[in-house]
Amino acid sequence: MKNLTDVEIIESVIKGNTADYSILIDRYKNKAFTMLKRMLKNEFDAEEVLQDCFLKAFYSLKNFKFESKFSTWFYRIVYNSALTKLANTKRKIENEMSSIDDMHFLESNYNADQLVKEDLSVVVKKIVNELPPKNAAVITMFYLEEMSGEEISEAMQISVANVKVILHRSRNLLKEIIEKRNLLQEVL
Amino acid sequence: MKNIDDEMLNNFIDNQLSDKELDFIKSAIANSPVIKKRYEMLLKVDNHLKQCGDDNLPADFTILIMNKINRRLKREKQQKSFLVIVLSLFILITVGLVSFILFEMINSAQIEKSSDIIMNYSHNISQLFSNLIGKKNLSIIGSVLSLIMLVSGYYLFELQKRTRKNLFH
Repeated sequence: MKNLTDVEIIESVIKGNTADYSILIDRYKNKAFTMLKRMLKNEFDAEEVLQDCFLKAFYSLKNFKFESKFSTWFYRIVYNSALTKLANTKRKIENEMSSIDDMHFLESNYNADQLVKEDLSVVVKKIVNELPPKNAAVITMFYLEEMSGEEISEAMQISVANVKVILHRSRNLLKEIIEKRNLLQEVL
Repeated sequence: MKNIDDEMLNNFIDNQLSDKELDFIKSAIANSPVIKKRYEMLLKVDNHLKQCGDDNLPADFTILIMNKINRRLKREKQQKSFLVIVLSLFILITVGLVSFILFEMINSAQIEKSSDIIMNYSHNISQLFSNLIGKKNLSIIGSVLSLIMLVSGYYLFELQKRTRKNLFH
């Protein structure tokens, strides 16, 4: 049962087998939760928004046209819901793509001691959790969901070039932090 | 020689370069220790990002969502049934009233003998409804209608309350 494809599950749910929807929930809940947590920077909000996303997706399944993957369609709901939540909580949404300078505050968040002492994977995870919403969304969809640039651009409704720019900037920022860490390790 | 920036190295990691560019980058990495170091650093970042796992939700999350869906589906079904019952009663009462009015009209009119068969037939039907909606039963029907209206009002109020609750929570 668990080996069914997304399309087969959706067809079954539309036919009236509501219980099959739980397979889709189990399949996507943790990855979508990670993306929301990274975007909203709040676990409680992430869980609440995710519940709404799954309910929204369930009631809109009849409108799903099977033209794109369910994951792309679902992540579009998740991404838009996160943006709405951010707007509602009056947090700043970056309408323009954030520049590298904007993201340098992340680097300054870590003092030399933390950078050297903490395990690199812990540092990377912490930085990813503090990335601006758009960057966090791209990183999660690219690495966790293994979505292509085209699929991410469809989910976020931005161009593929923009997806690439966001991805590369996030990677470059992390590279700079690792370089700084290596230098500090040599000095200390 | 063309400068190799981080953008090109990122594209190399994502395997988004043409064969010509690919050869060019490969030879640059092999010949320049600086470029090799930058590439290795980006590759390290890429590997770390790949290793960042997902966060787990509480085990009962799926059950919670499914319960919400089932509750809503059940509520929708109940509302649908209620609407069908109210509509059926309304149609039944309307048909009864129309028949009663027709019977009264037929009674008051002077109908010729040729239409006796039709008259008798309609008389029997209208008699049936007039017994149901007679002067004595009219008050009962009125009471039933009032009760239906009261119950509908209660359900509408409850529905509005639930909708508001769903909107704000």
